[in-house]
Amino acid sequence: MNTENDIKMKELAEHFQQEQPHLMRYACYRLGDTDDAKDALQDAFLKISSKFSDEKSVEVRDWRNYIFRVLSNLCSSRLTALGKLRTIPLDACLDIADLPTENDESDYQRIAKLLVEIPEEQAEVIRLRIYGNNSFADVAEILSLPLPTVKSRFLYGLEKIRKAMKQTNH
Amino acid sequence: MNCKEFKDKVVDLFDTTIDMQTQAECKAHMAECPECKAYYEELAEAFNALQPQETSSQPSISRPVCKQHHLWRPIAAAAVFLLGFFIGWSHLFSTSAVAETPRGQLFEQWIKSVQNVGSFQMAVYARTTSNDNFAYFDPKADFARIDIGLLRQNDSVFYRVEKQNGRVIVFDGQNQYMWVPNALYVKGPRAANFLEYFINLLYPERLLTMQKSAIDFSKKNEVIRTESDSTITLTFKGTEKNSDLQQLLETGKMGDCEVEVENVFTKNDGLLRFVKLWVVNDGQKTLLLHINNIQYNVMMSRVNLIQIPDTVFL
Repeated sequence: MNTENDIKMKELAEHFQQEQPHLMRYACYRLGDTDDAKDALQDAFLKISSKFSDEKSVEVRDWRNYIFRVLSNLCSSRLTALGKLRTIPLDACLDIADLPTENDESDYQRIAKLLVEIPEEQAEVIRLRIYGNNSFADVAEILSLPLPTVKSRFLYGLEKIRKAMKQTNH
Repeated sequence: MNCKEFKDKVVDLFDTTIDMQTQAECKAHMAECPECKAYYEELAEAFNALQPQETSSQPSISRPVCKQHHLWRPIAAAAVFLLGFFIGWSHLFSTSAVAETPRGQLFEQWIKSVQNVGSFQMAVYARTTSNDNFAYFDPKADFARIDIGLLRQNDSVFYRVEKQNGRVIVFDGQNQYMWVPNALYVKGPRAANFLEYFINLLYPERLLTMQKSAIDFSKKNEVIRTESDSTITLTFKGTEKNSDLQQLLETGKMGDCEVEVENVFTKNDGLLRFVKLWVVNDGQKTLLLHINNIQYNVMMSRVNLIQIPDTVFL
Protein backbone atom coordinates (compact mmCIF):
# COMPACT_ATOMS: atom_id res chain seq x y z
CA MET A 1 0.00 0.00 0.00
CA ASN A 2 1.59 3.29 -1.02
CA THR A 3 2.05 6.27 1.29
CA GLU A 4 -0.64 8.31 -0.45
CA ASN A 5 -3.21 5.61 0.21
CA ASP A 6 -2.00 5.26 3.81
CA ILE A 7 -2.93 8.90 4.30
CA LYS A 8 -6.30 8.30 2.66
CA MET A 9 -6.93 5.33 4.94
CA LYS A 10 -6.29 7.55 7.93
CA GLU A 11 -8.63 10.19 6.52
CA LEU A 12 -11.24 7.52 5.90
CA ALA A 13 -11.08 6.39 9.52
CA GLU A 14 -11.32 9.98 10.74
CA HIS A 15 -14.32 10.74 8.57
CA PHE A 16 -16.06 7.54 9.57
CA GLN A 17 -15.58 8.39 13.20
CA GLN A 18 -16.77 11.93 12.72
CA GLU A 19 -19.86 10.98 10.73
CA GLN A 20 -20.73 7.80 12.59
CA PRO A 21 -23.84 9.18 14.35
CA HIS A 22 -25.45 10.32 11.10
CA LEU A 23 -24.35 7.26 9.17
CA MET A 24 -25.70 4.99 11.87
CA ARG A 25 -28.99 6.83 12.14
CA TYR A 26 -29.50 6.78 8.39
CA ALA A 27 -28.65 3.07 8.16
CA CYS A 28 -30.99 2.22 11.07
CA TYR A 29 -33.93 3.90 9.41
CA ARG A 30 -33.06 2.37 6.09
CA LEU A 31 -32.61 -1.19 7.27
CA GLY A 32 -34.82 -1.43 10.33
CA ASP A 33 -32.51 -2.39 13.17
CA THR A 34 -29.10 -1.72 14.61
CA ASP A 35 -27.50 -5.08 13.92
CA ASP A 36 -28.05 -4.70 10.21
CA ALA A 37 -27.06 -1.04 10.39
CA LYS A 38 -23.78 -1.84 12.16
CA ASP A 39 -23.03 -4.56 9.62
CA ALA A 40 -23.73 -2.15 6.79
CA LEU A 41 -21.43 0.48 8.27
CA GLN A 42 -18.70 -2.06 8.69
CA ASP A 43 -19.18 -3.32 5.15
CA ALA A 44 -18.99 0.24 3.84
CA PHE A 45 -15.74 0.83 5.67
CA LEU A 46 -14.24 -2.42 4.46
CA LYS A 47 -15.37 -1.82 0.89
CA ILE A 48 -13.78 1.62 0.75
CA SER A 49 -10.58 0.53 2.48
CA SER A 50 -10.26 -2.45 0.12
CA LYS A 51 -10.47 -0.05 -2.76
CA PHE A 52 -7.49 1.83 -1.37
CA SER A 53 -5.56 -1.40 -0.95
CA ASP A 54 -6.27 -2.61 -4.47
CA GLU A 55 -5.84 0.57 -6.46
CA LYS A 56 -2.65 2.60 -6.73
CA SER A 57 -4.23 5.96 -6.06
CA VAL A 58 -7.82 6.77 -5.35
CA GLU A 59 -9.07 10.33 -5.55
CA VAL A 60 -11.91 11.26 -3.21
CA ARG A 61 -13.34 14.70 -3.75
CA ASP A 62 -15.89 14.70 -0.95
CA TRP A 63 -15.40 12.11 1.75
CA ARG A 64 -18.75 12.49 3.44
CA ASN A 65 -20.78 12.14 0.29
CA TYR A 66 -18.65 9.25 -0.92
CA ILE A 67 -19.17 7.31 2.30
CA PHE A 68 -22.91 7.99 2.25
CA ARG A 69 -23.11 6.85 -1.38
CA VAL A 70 -21.36 3.59 -0.62
CA LEU A 71 -23.55 3.04 2.44
CA SER A 72 -26.74 3.85 0.53
CA ASN A 73 -25.84 1.34 -2.19
CA LEU A 74 -24.95 -1.31 0.37
CA CYS A 75 -28.26 -0.80 2.16
CA SER A 76 -30.12 -1.21 -1.16
CA SER A 77 -28.24 -4.43 -1.87
CA ARG A 78 -29.00 -5.79 1.58
CA LEU A 79 -32.69 -5.03 1.29
CA THR A 80 -32.86 -6.57 -2.17
CA ALA A 81 -31.03 -9.68 -0.99
CA LEU A 82 -33.38 -10.06 1.96
CA GLY A 83 -36.39 -9.62 -0.32
CA LYS A 84 -37.58 -6.54 1.58
CA LEU A 85 -39.00 -3.63 -0.32
CA ARG A 86 -40.14 -1.87 2.81
CA THR A 87 -38.63 -1.74 6.25
CA ILE A 88 -41.76 -2.15 8.32
CA PRO A 89 -41.68 -5.29 10.45
CA LEU A 90 -44.80 -7.48 10.30
CA ASP A 91 -46.03 -6.65 13.74
CA ALA A 92 -46.12 -2.96 12.85
CA CYS A 93 -48.86 -3.60 10.29
CA LEU A 94 -51.93 -3.36 12.46
CA ASP A 95 -55.53 -2.73 11.81
CA ILE A 96 -56.46 0.89 12.24
CA ALA A 97 -58.76 0.03 15.12
CA ASP A 98 -55.91 -1.71 16.93
CA LEU A 99 -53.26 0.96 16.48
CA PRO A 100 -51.40 1.57 19.68
CA THR A 101 -51.49 5.04 21.16
CA GLU A 102 -48.75 7.39 20.17
CA ASN A 103 -47.09 6.99 23.53
CA ASP A 104 -46.76 3.24 23.10
CA GLU A 105 -45.58 3.21 19.50
CA SER A 106 -41.87 3.06 18.91
CA ASP A 107 -40.34 6.02 17.16
CA TYR A 108 -39.08 3.82 14.42
CA GLN A 109 -42.47 2.31 13.70
CA ARG A 110 -44.06 5.73 13.71
CA ILE A 111 -41.63 7.09 11.14
CA ALA A 112 -41.56 3.88 9.10
CA LYS A 113 -45.34 4.06 8.75
CA LEU A 114 -45.02 7.59 7.40
CA LEU A 115 -42.33 6.68 4.92
CA VAL A 116 -44.15 3.63 3.60
CA GLU A 117 -46.81 5.97 2.23
CA ILE A 118 -44.46 7.39 -0.38
CA PRO A 119 -42.39 5.97 -3.23
CA GLU A 120 -39.03 4.59 -2.17
CA GLU A 121 -37.14 7.14 -4.27
CA GLN A 122 -38.78 9.98 -2.30
CA ALA A 123 -38.28 8.16 1.01
CA GLU A 124 -34.57 7.73 0.28
CA VAL A 125 -34.12 11.45 -0.31
CA ILE A 126 -35.94 12.18 2.96
CA ARG A 127 -33.86 9.65 4.89
CA LEU A 128 -30.57 11.04 3.57
CA ARG A 129 -31.67 14.59 4.25
CA ILE A 130 -33.12 14.14 7.75
CA TYR A 131 -31.38 11.12 9.28
CA GLY A 132 -28.11 11.52 7.42
CA ASN A 133 -28.20 15.28 8.00
CA ASN A 134 -27.09 15.91 4.44
CA SER A 135 -27.87 19.08 2.54
CA PHE A 136 -29.91 18.78 -0.64
CA ALA A 137 -26.73 19.36 -2.63
CA ASP A 138 -25.02 16.50 -0.78
CA VAL A 139 -28.00 14.22 -1.35
CA ALA A 140 -27.83 15.03 -5.06
CA GLU A 141 -24.19 14.04 -5.14
CA ILE A 142 -24.73 10.88 -3.08
CA LEU A 143 -27.54 9.68 -5.32
CA SER A 144 -26.01 11.07 -8.53
CA LEU A 145 -29.14 13.06 -9.23
CA PRO A 146 -29.70 16.64 -10.35
CA LEU A 147 -30.35 19.02 -7.45
CA PRO A 148 -33.83 20.02 -8.71
CA THR A 149 -34.79 16.33 -8.82
CA VAL A 150 -33.73 15.86 -5.22
CA LYS A 151 -35.70 18.90 -4.11
CA SER A 152 -38.78 17.77 -6.04
CA ARG A 153 -38.68 14.29 -4.55
CA PHE A 154 -38.30 15.74 -1.07
CA LEU A 155 -41.19 18.16 -1.57
CA TYR A 156 -43.54 15.60 -3.12
CA GLY A 157 -42.63 13.14 -0.38
CA LEU A 158 -43.55 15.67 2.32
CA GLU A 159 -46.79 16.55 0.52
CA LYS A 160 -47.82 12.88 0.34
CA ILE A 161 -46.89 12.26 3.97
CA ARG A 162 -48.92 15.25 5.05
CA LYS A 163 -51.89 13.98 3.03
CA ALA A 164 -51.54 10.54 4.61
CA MET A 165 -51.37 12.10 8.08
CA LYS A 166 -54.58 14.01 7.39
CA GLN A 167 -56.36 10.84 6.25
CA THR A 168 -55.17 8.93 9.32
CA ASN A 169 -56.44 11.68 11.62
CA HIS A 170 -59.80 11.60 9.95
CA MET B 1 -42.42 37.12 -4.70
CA ASN B 2 -45.55 35.55 -6.18
CA CYS B 3 -47.13 32.24 -5.23
CA LYS B 4 -45.36 30.29 -7.97
CA GLU B 5 -41.98 31.64 -6.90
CA PHE B 6 -42.84 30.81 -3.30
CA LYS B 7 -43.70 27.22 -4.18
CA ASP B 8 -40.40 26.95 -6.09
CA LYS B 9 -38.41 28.27 -3.16
CA VAL B 10 -40.23 26.81 -0.14
CA VAL B 11 -38.29 23.55 -0.28
CA ASP B 12 -35.09 25.54 0.43
CA LEU B 13 -36.47 26.30 3.89
CA PHE B 14 -35.97 22.62 4.71
CA ASP B 15 -32.32 22.46 3.74
CA THR B 16 -29.52 22.12 6.29
CA THR B 17 -28.62 25.76 5.79
CA ILE B 18 -31.15 28.43 4.89
CA ASP B 19 -30.31 31.43 2.80
CA MET B 20 -31.33 34.51 4.75
CA GLN B 21 -32.67 36.30 1.69
CA THR B 22 -34.81 33.35 0.64
CA GLN B 23 -36.12 33.05 4.15
CA ALA B 24 -36.96 36.74 4.33
CA GLU B 25 -38.72 36.68 0.95
CA CYS B 26 -40.74 33.60 1.82
CA LYS B 27 -41.68 35.05 5.18
CA ALA B 28 -42.81 38.30 3.58
CA HIS B 29 -44.92 36.40 1.06
CA MET B 30 -46.52 34.23 3.75
CA ALA B 31 -47.47 37.36 5.67
CA GLU B 32 -49.56 38.37 2.67
CA CYS B 33 -50.78 35.01 1.40
CA PRO B 34 -52.68 32.78 3.85
CA GLU B 35 -52.81 29.93 1.34
CA CYS B 36 -49.05 29.76 0.92
CA LYS B 37 -48.61 30.10 4.66
CA ALA B 38 -50.96 27.16 5.21
CA TYR B 39 -49.10 25.17 2.56
CA TYR B 40 -45.78 25.80 4.28
CA GLU B 41 -47.22 24.92 7.69
CA GLU B 42 -48.49 21.60 6.36
CA LEU B 43 -45.06 20.79 4.97
CA ALA B 44 -43.44 21.80 8.27
CA GLU B 45 -45.85 19.54 10.13
CA ALA B 46 -44.88 16.58 7.97
CA PHE B 47 -41.20 17.48 8.34
CA ASN B 48 -41.51 17.67 12.12
CA ALA B 49 -43.40 14.37 12.22
CA LEU B 50 -40.43 12.72 10.54
CA GLN B 51 -37.98 13.94 13.17
CA PRO B 52 -36.78 11.28 15.56
CA GLN B 53 -37.93 11.83 19.11
CA GLU B 54 -36.25 10.62 22.28
CA THR B 55 -38.24 8.03 24.10
CA SER B 56 -37.57 5.87 27.08
CA SER B 57 -39.74 2.96 25.92
CA GLN B 58 -38.25 0.02 24.07
CA PRO B 59 -39.59 -0.41 20.56
CA SER B 60 -41.89 -3.39 20.10
CA ILE B 61 -40.54 -4.84 16.89
CA SER B 62 -39.33 -8.37 16.39
CA ARG B 63 -35.64 -7.55 16.32
CA PRO B 64 -34.09 -5.30 18.92
CA VAL B 65 -32.99 -1.83 17.94
CA CYS B 66 -30.57 0.39 19.74
CA LYS B 67 -31.92 2.47 22.59
CA GLN B 68 -33.65 5.54 21.30
CA HIS B 69 -31.90 7.98 23.57
CA HIS B 70 -28.50 6.84 22.33
CA LEU B 71 -29.38 6.73 18.70
CA TRP B 72 -31.39 9.84 18.16
CA ARG B 73 -29.65 12.44 20.28
CA PRO B 74 -27.23 14.45 18.16
CA ILE B 75 -23.85 13.12 19.23
CA ALA B 76 -20.57 14.75 18.44
CA ALA B 77 -18.01 12.49 16.82
CA ALA B 78 -15.43 13.42 19.39
CA ALA B 79 -16.22 13.58 23.00
CA VAL B 80 -14.88 16.56 24.63
CA PHE B 81 -14.56 19.66 25.86
CA LEU B 82 -12.42 22.31 25.26
CA LEU B 83 -12.34 25.14 27.54
CA GLY B 84 -9.90 24.42 30.28
CA PHE B 85 -6.81 25.06 28.29
CA PHE B 86 -7.59 28.67 27.52
CA ILE B 87 -8.10 31.51 29.91
CA GLY B 88 -9.83 29.89 32.83
CA TRP B 89 -13.55 29.93 33.43
CA SER B 90 -13.01 32.20 36.41
CA HIS B 91 -11.62 34.86 34.12
CA LEU B 92 -14.36 34.55 31.54
CA PHE B 93 -17.14 34.33 34.04
CA SER B 94 -16.46 37.04 36.51
CA THR B 95 -20.09 36.72 37.42
CA SER B 96 -19.64 33.15 38.66
CA ALA B 97 -21.17 34.09 41.99
CA VAL B 98 -24.35 35.35 40.31
CA ALA B 99 -27.41 33.17 40.67
CA GLU B 100 -29.14 31.85 37.57
CA THR B 101 -32.39 33.54 36.62
CA PRO B 102 -35.41 32.37 34.62
CA ARG B 103 -34.56 34.95 31.96
CA GLY B 104 -31.04 33.58 31.69
CA GLN B 105 -32.47 30.08 31.38
CA LEU B 106 -33.82 31.09 27.94
CA PHE B 107 -30.29 30.56 26.67
CA GLU B 108 -29.77 27.22 28.36
CA GLN B 109 -31.20 24.83 25.76
CA TRP B 110 -29.40 26.59 22.93
CA ILE B 111 -26.10 26.43 24.77
CA LYS B 112 -26.55 22.69 25.20
CA SER B 113 -27.41 22.26 21.50
CA VAL B 114 -24.17 23.77 20.26
CA GLN B 115 -21.88 22.35 22.92
CA ASN B 116 -21.75 18.84 21.51
CA VAL B 117 -21.01 19.54 17.87
CA GLY B 118 -17.99 17.79 16.43
CA SER B 119 -16.98 20.66 14.21
CA PHE B 120 -18.18 24.00 12.92
CA GLN B 121 -17.17 26.67 10.50
CA MET B 122 -18.34 30.23 10.16
CA ALA B 123 -17.50 33.53 8.51
CA VAL B 124 -17.48 36.47 10.90
CA TYR B 125 -17.64 39.95 9.44
CA ALA B 126 -16.29 42.41 12.00
CA ARG B 127 -15.37 46.08 11.95
CA THR B 128 -11.66 45.67 12.41
CA THR B 129 -8.50 45.60 10.34
CA SER B 130 -6.80 42.64 8.71
CA ASN B 131 -3.53 42.77 10.56
CA ASP B 132 -4.50 43.98 14.00
CA ASN B 133 -4.97 41.62 16.90
CA PHE B 134 -8.26 39.80 17.11
CA ALA B 135 -9.57 41.70 20.11
CA TYR B 136 -9.48 45.00 18.21
CA PHE B 137 -12.83 46.38 17.06
CA ASP B 138 -13.54 49.81 15.69
CA PRO B 139 -17.12 50.93 14.96
CA LYS B 140 -15.72 53.32 12.34
CA ALA B 141 -13.74 50.64 10.45
CA ASP B 142 -14.97 48.72 7.43
CA PHE B 143 -15.94 45.09 7.77
CA ALA B 144 -13.16 42.51 7.58
CA ARG B 145 -13.92 38.85 7.07
CA ILE B 146 -12.66 36.34 9.63
CA ASP B 147 -12.98 32.63 8.82
CA ILE B 148 -13.18 30.26 11.74
CA GLY B 149 -12.99 26.48 11.65
CA LEU B 150 -12.98 24.24 14.72
CA LEU B 151 -12.72 20.48 14.95
CA ARG B 152 -13.11 18.26 18.01
CA GLN B 153 -11.43 14.92 17.58
CA ASN B 154 -10.07 12.26 19.89
CA ASP B 155 -10.38 14.38 23.04
CA SER B 156 -8.60 17.29 21.36
CA VAL B 157 -9.62 20.54 19.78
CA PHE B 158 -8.08 22.03 16.67
CA TYR B 159 -8.93 25.41 15.24
CA ARG B 160 -8.04 28.02 12.70
CA VAL B 161 -9.01 31.69 12.93
CA GLU B 162 -8.04 33.61 9.82
CA LYS B 163 -8.56 37.25 8.89
CA GLN B 164 -8.82 37.56 5.13
CA ASN B 165 -5.42 38.67 3.81
CA GLY B 166 -4.23 39.15 7.37
CA ARG B 167 -3.56 37.70 10.78
CA VAL B 168 -4.01 33.97 11.36
CA ILE B 169 -4.06 31.86 14.50
CA VAL B 170 -3.89 28.07 14.48
CA PHE B 171 -4.09 25.66 17.39
CA ASP B 172 -2.91 22.13 16.55
CA GLY B 173 -3.87 20.47 19.80
CA GLN B 174 -0.50 21.19 21.38
CA ASN B 175 0.73 24.64 20.38
CA GLN B 176 -0.68 27.91 19.13
CA TYR B 177 0.75 29.65 16.09
CA MET B 178 0.06 33.22 15.09
CA TRP B 179 1.30 35.03 12.04
CA VAL B 180 0.83 38.11 9.93
CA PRO B 181 2.18 37.37 6.42
CA ASN B 182 5.68 38.75 5.90
CA ALA B 183 5.59 40.48 9.26
CA LEU B 184 5.20 38.33 12.32
CA TYR B 185 5.48 34.66 13.17
CA VAL B 186 5.09 33.55 16.76
CA LYS B 187 4.49 30.24 18.47
CA GLY B 188 3.09 29.73 21.93
CA PRO B 189 2.07 26.97 24.27
CA ARG B 190 -1.46 25.73 24.75
CA ALA B 191 -2.24 28.42 27.33
CA ALA B 192 -0.99 31.34 25.25
CA ASN B 193 -3.64 34.02 24.86
CA PHE B 194 -3.19 34.92 21.21
CA LEU B 195 -6.91 35.31 20.62
CA GLU B 196 -7.46 37.52 23.65
CA TYR B 197 -11.14 38.30 24.12
CA PHE B 198 -12.00 37.22 20.64
CA ILE B 199 -12.05 33.74 22.12
CA ASN B 200 -15.57 34.56 23.31
CA LEU B 201 -16.63 34.61 19.69
CA LEU B 202 -14.67 31.49 18.76
CA TYR B 203 -17.13 29.09 20.33
CA PRO B 204 -20.86 29.60 19.78
CA GLU B 205 -21.60 28.26 23.26
CA ARG B 206 -19.32 30.86 24.81
CA LEU B 207 -21.03 33.70 23.02
CA LEU B 208 -24.37 32.45 24.29
CA THR B 209 -23.08 31.80 27.79
CA MET B 210 -21.69 35.32 28.02
CA GLN B 211 -25.09 36.72 27.20
CA LYS B 212 -26.74 34.42 29.70
CA SER B 213 -24.27 35.63 32.34
CA ALA B 214 -25.12 39.23 31.48
CA ILE B 215 -28.83 38.51 31.90
CA ASP B 216 -28.23 36.80 35.22
CA PHE B 217 -25.94 39.63 36.28
CA SER B 218 -28.38 42.48 35.96
CA LYS B 219 -32.08 43.03 35.50
CA LYS B 220 -31.20 46.03 33.37
CA ASN B 221 -29.96 43.66 30.67
CA GLU B 222 -32.87 42.39 28.59
CA VAL B 223 -33.61 39.33 26.49
CA ILE B 224 -36.49 39.20 24.01
CA ARG B 225 -37.67 35.99 22.37
CA THR B 226 -39.37 36.04 18.98
CA GLU B 227 -40.34 33.19 16.73
CA SER B 228 -40.96 32.50 13.06
CA ASP B 229 -42.04 29.27 11.40
CA SER B 230 -38.51 27.97 11.15
CA THR B 231 -36.45 30.06 13.54
CA ILE B 232 -36.30 31.37 17.07
CA THR B 233 -34.55 34.66 17.77
CA LEU B 234 -33.15 35.73 21.14
CA THR B 235 -32.26 39.40 21.21
CA PHE B 236 -30.00 40.49 24.04
CA LYS B 237 -29.92 44.16 25.02
CA GLY B 238 -27.28 45.31 27.45
CA THR B 239 -27.98 48.50 29.27
CA GLU B 240 -26.04 48.02 32.51
CA LYS B 241 -23.38 50.66 32.81
CA ASN B 242 -19.83 49.48 32.85
CA SER B 243 -16.86 51.14 31.30
CA ASP B 244 -14.62 48.11 31.17
CA LEU B 245 -13.92 47.29 27.52
CA GLN B 246 -12.93 43.77 28.45
CA GLN B 247 -16.35 42.91 29.75
CA LEU B 248 -18.20 43.81 26.59
CA LEU B 249 -20.50 40.85 26.48
CA GLU B 250 -20.79 40.12 30.18
CA THR B 251 -22.14 43.48 31.11
CA GLY B 252 -23.42 44.85 27.83
CA LYS B 253 -21.18 47.83 27.84
CA MET B 254 -18.08 48.82 25.90
CA GLY B 255 -16.83 52.14 27.14
CA ASP B 256 -19.83 54.42 26.86
CA CYS B 257 -21.53 52.14 24.36
CA GLU B 258 -24.31 49.69 25.00
CA VAL B 259 -24.50 46.37 23.19
CA GLU B 260 -27.28 44.50 21.43
CA VAL B 261 -26.95 40.94 20.13
CA GLU B 262 -29.41 39.13 17.90
CA ASN B 263 -29.08 35.32 17.94
CA VAL B 264 -31.07 33.31 15.39
CA PHE B 265 -31.56 29.56 15.91
CA THR B 266 -33.13 27.09 13.48
CA LYS B 267 -36.02 25.23 15.06
CA ASN B 268 -35.45 21.88 13.42
CA ASP B 269 -32.06 21.33 15.04
CA GLY B 270 -31.81 23.98 17.76
CA LEU B 271 -28.49 25.31 16.52
CA LEU B 272 -27.28 28.89 16.44
CA ARG B 273 -27.05 29.98 12.84
CA PHE B 274 -26.85 33.78 12.58
CA VAL B 275 -25.55 36.46 14.93
CA LYS B 276 -25.57 40.23 14.73
CA LEU B 277 -23.91 42.44 17.34
CA TRP B 278 -24.51 46.18 17.51
CA VAL B 279 -23.01 48.87 19.67
CA VAL B 280 -25.24 51.76 20.60
CA ASN B 281 -23.55 55.08 21.37
CA ASP B 282 -25.35 58.39 21.85
CA GLY B 283 -28.46 56.95 20.32
CA GLN B 284 -26.65 55.72 17.23
CA LYS B 285 -26.71 52.01 16.55
CA THR B 286 -23.78 50.56 14.61
CA LEU B 287 -23.47 46.97 13.45
CA LEU B 288 -20.10 45.85 14.83
CA LEU B 289 -20.08 42.27 13.64
CA HIS B 290 -22.28 39.67 12.06
CA ILE B 291 -21.96 35.93 11.57
CA ASN B 292 -23.85 34.37 8.68
CA ASN B 293 -24.85 30.77 8.52
CA ILE B 294 -22.77 28.88 11.05
CA GLN B 295 -22.35 25.33 9.72
CA TYR B 296 -22.03 22.44 12.13
CA ASN B 297 -20.57 18.94 11.91
CA VAL B 298 -18.98 19.79 8.60
CA MET B 299 -16.41 17.54 7.07
CA MET B 300 -13.02 18.95 7.77
CA SER B 301 -9.50 17.88 7.10
CA ARG B 302 -7.48 18.29 10.25
CA VAL B 303 -4.33 18.46 8.16
CA ASN B 304 -5.62 21.44 6.21
CA LEU B 305 -7.14 23.10 9.27
CA ILE B 306 -3.86 23.27 11.20
CA GLN B 307 -1.55 23.92 8.28
CA ILE B 308 1.02 26.60 9.07
CA PRO B 309 3.54 28.38 6.85
CA ASP B 310 6.87 26.75 6.25
CA THR B 311 8.91 29.27 8.20
CA VAL B 312 10.54 29.84 11.57
CA PHE B 313 8.16 30.67 14.38
CA LEU B 314 9.67 32.67 17.23
